[in-house]
Amino acid sequence: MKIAVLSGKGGTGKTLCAVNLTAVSPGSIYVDCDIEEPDGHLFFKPKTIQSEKVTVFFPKINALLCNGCRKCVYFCRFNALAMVHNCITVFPEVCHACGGCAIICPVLAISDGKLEIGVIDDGTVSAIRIISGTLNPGRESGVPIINKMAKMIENTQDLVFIDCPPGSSCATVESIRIADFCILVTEPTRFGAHDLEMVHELIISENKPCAAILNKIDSSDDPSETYCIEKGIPIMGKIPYDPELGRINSEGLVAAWEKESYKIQFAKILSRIIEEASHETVANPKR
Amino acid sequence: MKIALPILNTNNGQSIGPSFGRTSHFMIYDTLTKQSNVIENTAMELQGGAGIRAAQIIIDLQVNVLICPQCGENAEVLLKKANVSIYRNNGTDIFENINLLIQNKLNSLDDIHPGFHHSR
Ligand code: SF4
Ligand code: SF4
Repeated sequence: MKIAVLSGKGGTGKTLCAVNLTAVSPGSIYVDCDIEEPDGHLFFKPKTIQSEKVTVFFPKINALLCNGCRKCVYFCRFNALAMVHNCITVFPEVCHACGGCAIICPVLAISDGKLEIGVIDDGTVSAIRIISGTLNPGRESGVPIINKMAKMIENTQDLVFIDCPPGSSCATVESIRIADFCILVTEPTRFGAHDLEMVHELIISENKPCAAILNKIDSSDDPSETYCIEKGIPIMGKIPYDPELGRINSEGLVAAWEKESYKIQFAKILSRIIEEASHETVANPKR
Repeated sequence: MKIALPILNTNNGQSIGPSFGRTSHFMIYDTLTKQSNVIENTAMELQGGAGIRAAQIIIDLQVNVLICPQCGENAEVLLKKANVSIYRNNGTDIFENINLLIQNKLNSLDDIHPGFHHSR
């Protein structure tokens, strides 16, 4: 089973939940798709077994072969190519790496210059496999990295936790594509509830079953809880506001490995999730 | 010398338009023949890379100088490659600006704002 952990915004405790649910599931796989800030590995400190660079197509022009026909210039719908003094200029930030110009060029003057956009680290710690994607700074889209990680785990029978990018970007959509079940981590603020609604709508449009974990609960009203109840999102657990948990987390430690009570807390949430998710999969076998 | 300007059709005739890539027409003025020519900017409607395509049009017309209020980063890179100088207009009157340019009274457009990039 593949469980995606999401949140409407950063700072809700999404990584805390994803890391600790993984920590109480030996033999599972943790996949960090929060590629702009992949910090799951900071908690797990895995031993890296393999690092793989991720590249995308980048047009490399062989000026000796180019005959100046401009077919590539007019083909590129992003206008990433231009011609000055009979030489093709490529605008890297505009190029969408579709590879079309290389196909259209009649003299094969365009080849794949392989632009590196990031890296995927694959490692282990305590019988848990940690896969972590990192997008190079300045790159706009990490979707190819997410897709590559999804490929790595698509056929596994192991329990997988996918730590998704916060918010509702296309990177989030790609991250939940192979998930069987989605977990929304919320915080008890009005802004939090608003962002929760956005990401919940995204999950619905992707036709995935979901449930929620309410984080940082205190005695005041929780607009996120109200939203979950209104929308019939099952609540898998409530994590009270807890300075000690916050401290352990901010020190980069895995709470469930540090203290038995946290281990029990997250194990309880996990068993509810597994139950809810299996129930959903039976009810909707197509998923 | 050939001069290009993005132009705008208004009630009082034509004036210099506010943007380079997204303008509807360009005026091309030739200082040798003193002829002016208005051409359509086919890049205007493009979703992304309008500035690049507009610069390509200007370059292909063998323009030497562009007068405009602002120009995206990518278009600037391309225009510089093709040795097109870029000057900022003073007011929006077309022929007044052409005269100012000829008298060397326009400033070169050095504060180029970064182009608007579409996310993937
Ligand atoms: S399509 Fe090929 S030959 Fe034609 S201009 Fe582009 S690179 Fe050159
Ligand atoms: S790879 Fe695609 S987007 Fe990039 S320059 Fe070629 S045609 Fe344009």
